[in-house]
Amino acid sequence: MVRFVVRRLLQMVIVFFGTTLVVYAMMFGAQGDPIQALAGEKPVSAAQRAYLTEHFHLDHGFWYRYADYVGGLLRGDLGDTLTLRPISSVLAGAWPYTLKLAGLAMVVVVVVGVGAGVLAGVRRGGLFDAATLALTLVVIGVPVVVLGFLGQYLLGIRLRLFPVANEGDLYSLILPALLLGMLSLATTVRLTRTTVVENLRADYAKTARAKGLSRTRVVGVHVLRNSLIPVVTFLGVELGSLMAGAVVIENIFNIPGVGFTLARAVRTEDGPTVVTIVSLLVIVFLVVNLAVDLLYAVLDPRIRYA
Amino acid sequence: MSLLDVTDLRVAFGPTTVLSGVSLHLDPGETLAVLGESGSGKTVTAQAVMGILDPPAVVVGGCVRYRGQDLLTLPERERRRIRGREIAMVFQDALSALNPVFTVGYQIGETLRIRDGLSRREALHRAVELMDQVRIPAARQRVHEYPHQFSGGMRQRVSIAMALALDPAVLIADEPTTALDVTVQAQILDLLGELRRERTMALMLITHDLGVVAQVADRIAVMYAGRVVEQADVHQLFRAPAHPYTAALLRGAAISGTPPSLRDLPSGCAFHPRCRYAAAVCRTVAPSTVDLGGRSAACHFAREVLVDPAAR
Repeated sequence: MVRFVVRRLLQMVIVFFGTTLVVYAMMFGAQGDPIQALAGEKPVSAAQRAYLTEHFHLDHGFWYRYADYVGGLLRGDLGDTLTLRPISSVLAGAWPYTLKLAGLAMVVVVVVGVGAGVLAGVRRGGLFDAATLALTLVVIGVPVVVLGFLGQYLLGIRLRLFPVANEGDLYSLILPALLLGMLSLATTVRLTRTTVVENLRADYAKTARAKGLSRTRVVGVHVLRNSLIPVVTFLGVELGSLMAGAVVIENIFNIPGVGFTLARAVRTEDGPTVVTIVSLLVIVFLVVNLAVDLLYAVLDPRIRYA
Repeated sequence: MSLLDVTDLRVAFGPTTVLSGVSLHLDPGETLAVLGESGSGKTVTAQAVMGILDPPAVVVGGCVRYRGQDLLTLPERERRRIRGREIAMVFQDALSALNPVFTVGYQIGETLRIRDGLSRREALHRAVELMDQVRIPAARQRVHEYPHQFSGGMRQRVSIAMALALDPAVLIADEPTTALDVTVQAQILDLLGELRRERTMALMLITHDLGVVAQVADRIAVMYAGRVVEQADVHQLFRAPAHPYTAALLRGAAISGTPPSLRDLPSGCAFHPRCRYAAAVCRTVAPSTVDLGGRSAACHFAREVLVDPAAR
């Protein structure tokens, strides 16, 4: 177990250097003149230009700058944005929004997704099953951008159930979280339904019934516990698409979270910010997936990491 | 009166009839072997008695009386009360019959906690006792292990312990030794025999193995194509079978032809295409069960077969 974790952590180090290198190279290659991009149409004085060039080592080669950047990261220095704000303080303001948004989305996915999936699985072939099948297929087929605007328009503008943009409170995050969770939600429902149907047919479910247990207990304890194994794995992987979706949703709803900051940094060719945020997202993704793998072993005793 | 009395039980699988009138009975403390090849309806009979058939299989007729009460007319809630406590079941493949994600102690003690209100600690203690009774060594330690950590034979012992938890009067064992090594098979059969004696429990042992039958059964019900074709005391049956199918099984020779498809059963007696005694009447009229005095057989020529030296 300990060896497994250590090995995974070592793998994460390699993945970390790999992704930062790739993202850094991409930003490096895509950049025209970041200083001019920062200033827009306004002229940049020679002194300003000299200072920024010096500060970001713009006159040095790729490897020098990459090594300098990673060295900073390893010392815990996330660097500065092109506007000379420390990236750490920018992120400190942005993280809470994204965490709340993603957390809410995850709650929706787990509670509604697993709940509806179990119900559809237990009543296989029934009206609820057919309805969720149709609904989830539609949702899976629609890109998150369309879903976001559609939801904002219908629920926010027409029905006025939710605010159409961030107002700083948790309530205004509900609609974005709902829409963000929608994609994973649809897949979660399908996946849960399928595994529940499969497990209901399993011999052990029959044994549980032969023991005289109630249907609620057979489904809620025996079947559910087994059905959760693939669902949890899926949700871990799905965190990646949740993060990608957050970039889109945060922009649609004007939520100043990490995704919003990232999108703005891409627009303004703010290389250091883009690379730092992407690297952090990669780390979050890796850590969550490690946690999922460990959770997997807790859920399924047949899996033991040596 | 019999403990368990199954009369003319009919089960359909959509348009296909899988049990076309099964009748058998089980007396207190006895071992009844239900013998038949796969597809003859042994397992369906057991699951219909337990009330755990999966759709699309449904009971379409007959009755299952336990201590005189018809189980098929009981509401689900009361039927559930019978399950496990009065009639318990052991399945063929213990690995898939046990839930992989719970410890064996949890699974053995589960009914005691849920249905008898025992505390977690009491249930665990009782689980250890039950594991001792089915001769699982080091039960105190192993109670915390998961099914996959046990060998095949030990796993089957676990599921037997689980079935015995509520001290049932009837234990239905559906091919409990089929998935096991030959040496382990004998041990499990011995164990079932011992447990039956210790607890004066009736045992309904489903099998396709004549050797198993000879070893432990008091009486035998032979099934063919969804019917019980012969029912008799084990000694009587081995000495002189009354049904041509039983006779063929006992001779040990390969029976000509293949088992019939339930979708498309032969007219009349389902066994007639493979039967040495088949006559014109067998092709048109399904035989009714003939009482032969303490034993019965569903054959037009049961009395002739019974005295035919060639049938032995």
